[in-house]
Amino acid sequence: MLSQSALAIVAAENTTYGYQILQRLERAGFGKIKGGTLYPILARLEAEGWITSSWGEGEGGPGRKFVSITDAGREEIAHRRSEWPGFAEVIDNLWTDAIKRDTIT
Amino acid sequence: MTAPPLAQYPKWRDDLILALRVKNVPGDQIGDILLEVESHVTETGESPEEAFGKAKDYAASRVVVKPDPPEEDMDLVAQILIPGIGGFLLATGAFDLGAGQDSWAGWRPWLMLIAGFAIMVVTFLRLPVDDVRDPRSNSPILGSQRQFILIILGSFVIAAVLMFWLGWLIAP
Repeated sequence: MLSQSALAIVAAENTTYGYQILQRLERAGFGKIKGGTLYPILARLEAEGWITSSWGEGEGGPGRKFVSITDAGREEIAHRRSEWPGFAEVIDNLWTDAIKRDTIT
Repeated sequence: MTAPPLAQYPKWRDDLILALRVKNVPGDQIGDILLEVESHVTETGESPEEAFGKAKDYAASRVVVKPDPPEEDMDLVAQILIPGIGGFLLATGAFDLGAGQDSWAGWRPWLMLIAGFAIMVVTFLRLPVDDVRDPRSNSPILGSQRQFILIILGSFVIAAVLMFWLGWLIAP
């Protein structure tokens, strides 16, 4: 879920960087995500070919590693988006079943 | 000029580099990971441990590259045996030269000394160079690996001098 959300943020911003993604995730309701959680996700997204990265100037310090969505990344988002309703239905059915069995309220 | 934030945590940084090296992560990737950490802690003001957790755990989470296949046993034997032979020839040659002994097993001391040093030089120069590099400039971050190798070879020279002196001291 987090990796898909990070990918969606990169697509929405077109070009962004780690700390900005963390801030967007927090505003979206994921709470405070640590750099140690996000950067491995970004590395995996890049290894899959869904984003690219390059170093550029930042506001002081060593600069920023900017990430951008690729065409393959946009296709992946479109694919996941098309599967989402089916996935949500499966989860909802499982929750409804659990409620019926009185295991959750 | 204040030191970059990551320089204020040398142990965490060194632990991360070592943990990544142990997992066979290439030098250029290590440089990229280090710079990510540096950039992030500069932005957030957090310590690297606050933002990334323990260095060893973070290194484990960053291994996306397939490690090199395990070396053949014979390669491993050669990598230990050959420098071992070189070290033995170097030490014995220097000692015998200092002690004024003519030969050992038919070898002249100066020949053993030269052969031993030559083996060590060739062995270390053949080591693959995989510097930790800054992705922005491609320059080594921690000092060139070649410089480190030259320091090691220099220490062999010092060891040979000490063995020569020991042989001279003990000589009858």
